[in-house]
Amino acid sequence: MVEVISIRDLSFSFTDAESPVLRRLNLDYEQGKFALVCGPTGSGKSTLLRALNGLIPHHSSGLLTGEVFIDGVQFAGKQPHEVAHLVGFVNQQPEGAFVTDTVLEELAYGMEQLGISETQMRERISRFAALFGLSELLEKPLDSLSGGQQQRVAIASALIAGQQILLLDEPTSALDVESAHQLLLLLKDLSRKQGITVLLAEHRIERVLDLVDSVTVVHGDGSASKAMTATGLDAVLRNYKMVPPVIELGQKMGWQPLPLNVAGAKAAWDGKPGSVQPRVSNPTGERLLQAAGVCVSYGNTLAVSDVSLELAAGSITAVVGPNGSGKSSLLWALQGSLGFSGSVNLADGSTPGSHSPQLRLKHIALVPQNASDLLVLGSIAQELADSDEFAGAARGTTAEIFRSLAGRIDPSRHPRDLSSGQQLALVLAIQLAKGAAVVLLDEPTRGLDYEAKRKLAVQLAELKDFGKAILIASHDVEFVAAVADIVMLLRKGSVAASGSATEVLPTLADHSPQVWQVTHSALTVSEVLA
Amino acid sequence: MALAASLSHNQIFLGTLAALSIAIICVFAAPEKRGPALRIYGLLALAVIIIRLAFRVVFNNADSSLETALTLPQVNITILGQTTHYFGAVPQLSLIEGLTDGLRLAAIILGVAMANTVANPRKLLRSTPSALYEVATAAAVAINLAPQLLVSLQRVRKARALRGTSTSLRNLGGLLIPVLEDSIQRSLDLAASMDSRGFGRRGVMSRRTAAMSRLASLFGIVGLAIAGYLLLATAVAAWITVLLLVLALGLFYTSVRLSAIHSIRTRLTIEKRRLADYLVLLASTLVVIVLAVNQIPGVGTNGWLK
Repeated sequence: MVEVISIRDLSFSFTDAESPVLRRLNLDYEQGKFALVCGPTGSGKSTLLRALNGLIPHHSSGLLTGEVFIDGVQFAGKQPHEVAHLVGFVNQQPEGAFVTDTVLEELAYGMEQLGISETQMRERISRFAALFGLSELLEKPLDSLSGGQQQRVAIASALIAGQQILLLDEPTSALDVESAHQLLLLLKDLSRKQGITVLLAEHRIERVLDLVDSVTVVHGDGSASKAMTATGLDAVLRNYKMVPPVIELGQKMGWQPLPLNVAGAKAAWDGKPGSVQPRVSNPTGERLLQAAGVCVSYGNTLAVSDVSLELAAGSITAVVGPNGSGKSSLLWALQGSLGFSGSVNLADGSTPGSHSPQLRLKHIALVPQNASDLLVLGSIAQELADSDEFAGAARGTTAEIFRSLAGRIDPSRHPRDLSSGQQLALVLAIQLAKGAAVVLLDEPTRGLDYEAKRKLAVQLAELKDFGKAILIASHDVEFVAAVADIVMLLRKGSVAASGSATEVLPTLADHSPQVWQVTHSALTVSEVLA
Repeated sequence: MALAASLSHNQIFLGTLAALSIAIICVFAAPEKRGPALRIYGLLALAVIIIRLAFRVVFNNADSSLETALTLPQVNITILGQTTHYFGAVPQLSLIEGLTDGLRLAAIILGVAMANTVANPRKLLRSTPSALYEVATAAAVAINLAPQLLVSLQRVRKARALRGTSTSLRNLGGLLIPVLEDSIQRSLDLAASMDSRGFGRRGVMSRRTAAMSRLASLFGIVGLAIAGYLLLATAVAAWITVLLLVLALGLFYTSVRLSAIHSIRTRLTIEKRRLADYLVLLASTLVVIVLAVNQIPGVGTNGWLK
């Protein structure tokens, strides 16, 4: 096998940081293979990727030592544009990385910079447009495309000048399950059929593991280990708390060798099924919010159409569905900030929208997708005090809630230095300081790694025990399976299915929780008795 | 056209300019951009005219020698022994001056609106010579940042309202921090993306040539800026302005030629100049030519534009 990327003694530390993010790494990547780079948030997987095309150290301040050989030539420390003809790079947010306006111009941009002749450009554009299914879209403005289409354009643009190496930094983070799946299949195809070497950094790895040829785990202490086989991966992941459900199930059942995908796990389960104790969830609490016939429209488009739901005290309801199915609009309408038709009533019979924003927080609180937008002061302590004062609550009320959600965190820290999970907890605490009984969360797991998600699940369970009625909008099926009592499936704004989690989640077929696909009787690993 | 508007004092001419800008927006702007653009810029232009007129009505230094248009009860307010008059007789000339001033500003606003709505800063990039490419990129990115800033601002405002806090001045910092963080992040992402795709590659160019090219384009820009100022200020003899203009353009040309030799960048020609583009170009050039003629001493000073 030809090693197309060889990393030798590579170290990187950010200026001001005490310990290096990467410490003397030695890794090799073979040509035409699909490699996964995973690790918790902030572990350095994206740093590793960026060191391969020069974005590290040139687009962040720090010290890089060691060598990176691409096709035998040393490139570490070179400028990104000096490596551009060899390595294509795709970011999390394609719309932020687009340089031009239309698909055609975007495809041409990289080639123009590299000085490829116009005839060759035209030939390549038509070939790549066909390969990536973009032929119909060439004249379209980039901002009119769906997230999945935008990522396809980004990948095509990264490879169109003949680059044989593709680096992707969490490309699926803004995509729904279906688009993400399509994208991963495309990447596998690129490596298998076109011989492209693909390095993919991801922390949501449950749908990726059985597609890739190797897994590199970046541990967060500067070290990294690479595994090519299932047993190797088992060892790498075992002392690590970031396993997807199917691996967790395999580890709990003690299967050897450890199955990496649903098919393998299903075979092992069918051979010797474990016993399952399905959870019972039958919310019987007081009805805290009742919505009937809610419709939201933007101009002529109907975003939410005739949705009715009830939220009971001490329950968690999840709204699931692809991007653009109306989940967010529904949440904002229920909270009262977005105009709608139909009726929404709180426990006392009033409509949330009839209260002033301040008074509304006594009844209902919403945590938006970018939770950090709500954080504005210079330290956690200031945020907490401001929240108490504003809520008219006793000193320390918000701090108490925050501590119960996130544990002890130095209150002098700047809110923007917190991890996404900690920021979410802080915003949740602030929003709950006025004692709202109904809590709405929009995509709370976005950007969270397994550990942070697990913590969030525990926090939500606590709030549930306090008797709150919780509604989350999410496309993270595994998280929904872990926390939700009731699930409502939205498609194009309408309710496609609604009922208890055990009734609705299995109907998602290929996108249902992995443990369900294996066992057909349990939704999560905790329901399975080893 | 905005340039033309700033030079003219003729109400009919200004009105025509404004109408032309609106017409161009209506015909050629993308349908989804047309509505909001017309509303925002139209309101702004109208507001400017009204404010200008209101100022003339409220603070008029009543000069009895002038023909009076309308008479309002005069209000005299004495502060610290100084009496100021408000309202009272409003001279016709003063009103007309106010209207002209307002129209001028309105025409400038609408001209800028037209350029902003019809033209696209990113398209500008495609038609800049390669020596100016880096400057043009910076400009295009900066222009692009404005609408993104608005989007972030709306998102953050909505989020802040969730917290129940008012969007008062005390919270302005709170509103700005996430927005700035957003836009800085976007710019960094864009820069990283452009760099990763080869932006900034160049052929072999000696240090001296590179430095010369940079200097030439720098002086060219400074020269153009000064010439532009002189054109508007018109306090200096016309020939100096013209000389400076020619010199600046010459420097520019040199820098373009120097860089073009060593540039490796290629272009995919996509832009078919449409009828619309030609019309916009024609209209603008015509206006500028008319004005240039007007500026020439002896022809324009007492010409119909004054």
